[in-house]
Amino acid sequence: MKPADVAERTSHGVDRGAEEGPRSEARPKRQRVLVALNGADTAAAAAAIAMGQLVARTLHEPLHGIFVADTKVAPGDLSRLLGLPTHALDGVVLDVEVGEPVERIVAFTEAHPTAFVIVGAERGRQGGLGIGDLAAHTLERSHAPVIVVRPEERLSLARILVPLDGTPSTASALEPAGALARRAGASLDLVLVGEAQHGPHLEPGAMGAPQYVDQPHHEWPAFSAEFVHRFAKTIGHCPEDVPTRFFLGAGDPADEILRFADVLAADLTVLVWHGLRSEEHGAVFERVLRKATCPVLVLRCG
Amino acid sequence: MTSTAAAEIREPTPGRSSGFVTTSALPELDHLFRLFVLTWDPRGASAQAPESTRAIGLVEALLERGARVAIVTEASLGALLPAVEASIAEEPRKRLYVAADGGAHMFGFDHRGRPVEIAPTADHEDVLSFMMGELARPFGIEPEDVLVVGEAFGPAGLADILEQQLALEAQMGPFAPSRDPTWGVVESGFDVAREHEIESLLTIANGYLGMRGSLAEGSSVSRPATFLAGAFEPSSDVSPVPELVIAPDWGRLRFTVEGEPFAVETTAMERHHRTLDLRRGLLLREGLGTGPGGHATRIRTAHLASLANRHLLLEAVEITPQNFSGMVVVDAVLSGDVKSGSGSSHWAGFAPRQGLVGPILVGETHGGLELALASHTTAADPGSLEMRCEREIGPVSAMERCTLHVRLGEPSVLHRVVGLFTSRDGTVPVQRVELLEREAAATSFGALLGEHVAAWQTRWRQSDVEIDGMPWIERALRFALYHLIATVQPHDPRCSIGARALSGEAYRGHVFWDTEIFMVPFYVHTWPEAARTLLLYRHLTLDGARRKAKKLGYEGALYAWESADTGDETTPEFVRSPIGEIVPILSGLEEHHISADVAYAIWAYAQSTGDERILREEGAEILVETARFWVSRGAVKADGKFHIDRVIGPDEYHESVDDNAFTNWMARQNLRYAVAIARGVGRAKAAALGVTPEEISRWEEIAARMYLGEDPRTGLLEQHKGFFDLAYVDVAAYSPRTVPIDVLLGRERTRSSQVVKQADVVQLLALLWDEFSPDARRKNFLYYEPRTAHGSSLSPGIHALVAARLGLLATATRYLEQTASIDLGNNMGNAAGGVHAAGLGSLWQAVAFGVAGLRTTPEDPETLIVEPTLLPGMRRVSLPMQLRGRSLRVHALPGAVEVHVVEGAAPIGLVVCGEAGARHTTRADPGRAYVARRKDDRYLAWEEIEP
Repeated sequence: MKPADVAERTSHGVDRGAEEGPRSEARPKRQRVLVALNGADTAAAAAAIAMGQLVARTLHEPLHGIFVADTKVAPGDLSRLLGLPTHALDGVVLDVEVGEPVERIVAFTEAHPTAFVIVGAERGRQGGLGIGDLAAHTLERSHAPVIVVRPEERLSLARILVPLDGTPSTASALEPAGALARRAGASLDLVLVGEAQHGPHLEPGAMGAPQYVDQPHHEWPAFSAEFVHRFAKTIGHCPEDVPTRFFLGAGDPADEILRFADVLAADLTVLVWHGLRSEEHGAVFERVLRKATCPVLVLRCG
Repeated sequence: MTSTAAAEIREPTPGRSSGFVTTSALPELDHLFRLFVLTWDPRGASAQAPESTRAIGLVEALLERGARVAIVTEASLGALLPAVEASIAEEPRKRLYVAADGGAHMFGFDHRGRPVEIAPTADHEDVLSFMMGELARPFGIEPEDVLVVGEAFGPAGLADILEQQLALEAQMGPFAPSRDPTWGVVESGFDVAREHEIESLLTIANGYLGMRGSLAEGSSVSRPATFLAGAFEPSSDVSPVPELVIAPDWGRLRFTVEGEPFAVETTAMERHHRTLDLRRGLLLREGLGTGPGGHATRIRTAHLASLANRHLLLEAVEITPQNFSGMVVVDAVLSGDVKSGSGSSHWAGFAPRQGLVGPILVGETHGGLELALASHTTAADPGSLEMRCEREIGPVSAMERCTLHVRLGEPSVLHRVVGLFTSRDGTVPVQRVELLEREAAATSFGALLGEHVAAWQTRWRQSDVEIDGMPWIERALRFALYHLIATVQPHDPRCSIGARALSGEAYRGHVFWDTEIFMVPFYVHTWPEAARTLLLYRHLTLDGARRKAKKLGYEGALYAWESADTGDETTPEFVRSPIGEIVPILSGLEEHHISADVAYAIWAYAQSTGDERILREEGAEILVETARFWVSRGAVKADGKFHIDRVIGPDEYHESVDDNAFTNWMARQNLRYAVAIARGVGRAKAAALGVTPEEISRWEEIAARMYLGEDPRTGLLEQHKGFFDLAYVDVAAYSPRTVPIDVLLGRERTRSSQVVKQADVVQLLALLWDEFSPDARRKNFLYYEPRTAHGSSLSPGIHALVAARLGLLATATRYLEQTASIDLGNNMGNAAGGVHAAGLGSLWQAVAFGVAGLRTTPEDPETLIVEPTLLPGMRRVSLPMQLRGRSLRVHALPGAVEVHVVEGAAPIGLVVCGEAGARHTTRADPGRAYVARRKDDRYLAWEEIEP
């Protein structure tokens, strides 16, 4: 499966008053990568640390690890408490705190510019979005981007899948994904899923698949290019030099996102979440999060 | 004039409140109101008072300028009417409303100036809320555009207010937008997400070129483009296909206010509106913003592509400092730094130079097209403006840099005249453009503007459709007609109309059947000269059609499914879909009904205009060559019928089908037309083309043997062989949907299902209405409509047309609204690549042929059949129509239909349906008017009435 050719080109705005338009410099300034740790699941902690190391290395940013316990713990005891060999924590700035774990993680992200919080999904845990309490509560309460990683997942950052629902409010959260892709040299695969018994979004600037496809060979490339331009570049501020492809799916959105993640061998799936959990809002997010077979980056919007 | 400081704007509280909230005391009436609600009693002796006379005269002046005025009075309508009739002419009276008896009865006025009660149930306790609901909201008039003037002002105070409004409009000059919302498309603010579609919607064009309505100074998302009609050059695709050449950007204006750029992305905009003035063909803009240094400036601009002289492009700029006096720099740029959507730079090089009047940008494309653009910027009133203009020449651009000293609160106005010629217009474009600039320099800007506006007025007199009671549809229709008028070059048969007109790069300017079947009918009945030119394009490209037929192994002429300048096929053979599939494109190979569509359009044009000349010459050649194609395209099979296999009909979900009904029926018509021409007015031409009596007989025989797919048992036409055996899919079960149904179902399932992309058999009903019995029309529509997914913008308008003719009011209304929303719907992003020109044409057809029910029969083209079907909410549909040299004006009313033969040299027949299928016919004389009154659902005989 290959994407539309035209969508691979970038679209350039024309500033009629100057030779070049304003450029997006999305790279965050000296932010930290934070791994949230607890001792409940060794494999989850190991996966989170490995992912954290990959992300921190990619961004050239410091990697911090936060461990929160009921009582004071010496940093030197962490590898034992986590069930990890000592060298597993090499290169991690350790921050051991006392208190309620998620509260302290959120406090950290508010106190320090944080590019990403990385948390491991605990195996065999059905509650908390199916990823364990630490990951679920971090997602619910953190406004910093959160990457959820499962122990069995392979770690790479070459292909990033970005499902969009065609609304500007959702796309506006994309900047961190674009910045990460740029630093990682990754490509972005945008996916829009059309479905039946669902009307178009009424939000101004929203864009669904064209209702009228008079001539497919003209309409689809034009639509793909316009979609990429509108959402990745104009609203999402994805850097111009990140290769971007566009795919259109049809059917159940969660199934289609998971299918595209599989078919396109995505290394990271980016989900934008309004923070709601109900059948009407957040159902797609929750299903993809539960069933994803690659790490999931969750960006909060609204 | 006395002060109006006590005037108040009021707006109602949400819902139907018993009162109004006074939002503010108005220090000055500083913008143009659209709806005036006047509590006033201009009757009896008081009507004679000088101030009352002055006030009612001013009311008429505002009505003439498109405002709507509602008079609230305690008097009865009868008491008020004499004053209204004495003071306000019939045309502007259509925008007058009277809430009589204290609001108990609400009246409007019809096309003859007669009062029509439009809302007998008005709640007279809450007249103003009612007005907002019944008048303002349907017209899209915002509360801040409603001026409520209370009784306390008296006639003198009222007259002062109205006079001030008129004075403000006069002061704004060309920058004043229409007060009538049905004559404008307004885009407020700046939304990066929607900018591309806004640029398409706001395109200005004159048939010679079209310029997207991009911001003059540009933005990070702007995609300005000026398309040269008919000028094609190869794209930069892997397999290059011709695409419209994008001319150098002539519309660039850069504003620098006290050293800071004035632009939507860098200036804090307090107010930003762009308005496409449909009536005058102007793109207006007003921006009020404050730069980083705190300089607040109001800038108004007007842009136009002259319809009076298609080589002339005009811009006007008004700059008004709000809180400073200082320097403003305006750069008026001609820039060759342009590329097409495919990434092509068609321009091989530029040679900017100094001209006698202003800078000139001369360029040449890789294909050898030469172009010259000249610009000249002046102060509107050189005596009152300190301005210095210098010319700057760059490698690919030429610019005038005008430095103005602007004064606090005082508008400074600049005029810019741009000329454009190419080598397609004759020799040495640079000389022609210089001559044009010199001539323009000797003419006032106002005169150039006036000629353009007058040209638009002429077109609107021949075209405008009024739909009283459905302002949203009326506005959409005006938007449609604006683009149709603006996009046609009525004198140059090298130019046809692309699928996205001259408003966007999608479809690359390629010409489809869209033009002949969906757009040409509008021109036939409003601008026959333009229709003729469009059809002559098919004659100019006939050799390309001959080449295509020969290439595919057929005789005669097979028109390109996608045509550019030569008529050769430009449809690619493959495309990569957004789900990654490599999809073969068969339309160029199999969608052959295009040849019959062209033939149909020529015949229909000749029938409707009486233009025999085209049938003697170019039309005859086209009909002969297309008939020859059809003979070679099919074969008589064992059943003795002529079959056409392996085609695509309008329903492109089903490819490589046999005996598509639309194709076969249209081919039969093509053959019949050819027979008629070859034996009639075109026999000399036919003979010159080698047509023999035997060949004509062969055409006749094949037409008679054509397989038509009729099922005598059900009365249905089978869309193509085997369609009835395909699986039924409940299309409605997939609605609404956010992706076309063929994507949802998948390619294979779609192909094996009775899911129809667009009107196919229904399209046939619309085109060949009189070939079908009333029963067959209804049965086929009711069968195919629920199976149609409307995956093409060409579909809903035709469904509205047929549904209206069948009297299916709710269905017709739904499709009419869907058609009106194709480009103006705002939330599809569909218009980013340009407006849907065929959809625009189908909207006109839906109203003219469907709602107004106008048509002729093949047997008697000198007779107009009038069978209106007003849809719910419509109080009147009025439209002009050209028919065989006569100018008619038709008014469809709830209880009658009126036809006024405005001009013509001979009578014309009029027909309405009477009781028991009887038809009432009259011969209508030029200069006279006739009415057929309605009784129950049938019409009585025609009566003559006062014109």
